[in-house]
Amino acid sequence: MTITANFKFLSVLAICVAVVAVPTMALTQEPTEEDKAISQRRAFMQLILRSFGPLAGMAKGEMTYDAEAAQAHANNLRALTGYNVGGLFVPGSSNADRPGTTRALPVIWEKLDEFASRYGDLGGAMVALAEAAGQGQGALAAAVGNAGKACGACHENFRTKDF
Amino acid sequence: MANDAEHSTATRYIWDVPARLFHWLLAALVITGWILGEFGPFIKTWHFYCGYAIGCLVVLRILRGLFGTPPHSFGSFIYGSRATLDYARSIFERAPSNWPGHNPLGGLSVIALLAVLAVQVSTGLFADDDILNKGPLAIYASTGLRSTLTAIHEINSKIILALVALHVGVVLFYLFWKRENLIKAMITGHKQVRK
Repeated sequence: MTITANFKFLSVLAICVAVVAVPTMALTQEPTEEDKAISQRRAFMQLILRSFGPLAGMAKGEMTYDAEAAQAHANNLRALTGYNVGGLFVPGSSNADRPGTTRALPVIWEKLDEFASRYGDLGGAMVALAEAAGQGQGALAAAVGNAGKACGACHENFRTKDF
Repeated sequence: MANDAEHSTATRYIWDVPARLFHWLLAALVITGWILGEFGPFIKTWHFYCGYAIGCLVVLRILRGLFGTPPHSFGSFIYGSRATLDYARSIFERAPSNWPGHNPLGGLSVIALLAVLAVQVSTGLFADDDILNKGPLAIYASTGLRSTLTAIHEINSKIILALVALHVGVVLFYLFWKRENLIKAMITGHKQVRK
C-alpha cells in the first residue's frame, strides 16, 4: 500500500522533473565562437590586470617597491602583450552584436590596422617596462605611466565608456 | 535701468579676504586640475590633490552661501525672473553696472560654476580609468555605476571649460565694453558701487 503510493508519487515527480528539465537542457546551448572569443578576451584583460595592478600600486607609492616582484610582473606583461590577439577579435563579437557582455566597439573591425598598430605600441611599452622595472621606483613609475598611456590609447577609441 | 549714467557712486569694500582668497585659489586649482587631467602625467596623483582642494573650497562656499551674510549669501544674489530679465536687457549699455556684489546674471553664473564643480569633484571621487587611476570612493560603486560616473566626469570637464571661458569672456566684456574693472575689485576688494 505505502510502497505503491510511494511508487506512484515518485513516478509523478520524475515526470514533472523531466517536463521541466528537458526543455531547459535544450535551451542551454553550447557557447558560440563569438561568445567564447568575448570571454577569452576578458580573461586576457584580467591576466594583464593581475600583473599591472601591483605595478601601478608601486608606481603610485601605494605599495612598497620590490625590484624582484616588479620584474616578475613586468616579464609577464611583456609575454602577455607579445601574444597575437588578432584571433580573439572574431567578427560579430562587438558590443553592438553582444550588448552587455563586451565593451569592444564595432570600430575595431572597421579600423583593424589602426587597432593592430596601437596593440603593437602597447607591446613596445611593455618591453620598455620590463627593462625599467628592476631599475628602481622612479624608473618603474615612468615606464608604468607610459604603459598606462598605451593602454588608454585603445580604451579611448575602441572601448565604450559604458557597458 | 535708464539711470545708469546719472546715479552717483561710491567706492565700497565688497569682497572681503575670504571671498578673494576663495576666488583666486579656486581659479588656480581649477586651471591646474583641468590641465593636469587633460594633458598631465598619466599617473594623476596631483590631479587628485587639486580635486580634493576644490571639493573643500566648494563645500566652504556653499556653507557661506547658506549661512553667510550679503553679498555672499545665496539669498542676496539670487534674484527673481523680473530683476534678472531687467538686468539682462541693460547689459549692453556702455556704462558700468556699479552693482554692489553679484548682479543677477553674475549670481546665476556663481551657482552654475559651483554646481558643475560639485558634480566634477563628486564624480571624480568614484571615477576609474580601469588602468591605474581610481578615485578613493570607486571601490564602493558597482562597475556599471563607476563607468557611468567616469563618463560624466569627462563630459562635465568640457562644460567646465565652456563656463570658465564664458566667465572670463564676460569679465573682459565688462572691462572693455562697459568700462567696469571687475578684476581689480576682486584683487583689492574695493568696488565702485551705486549709492
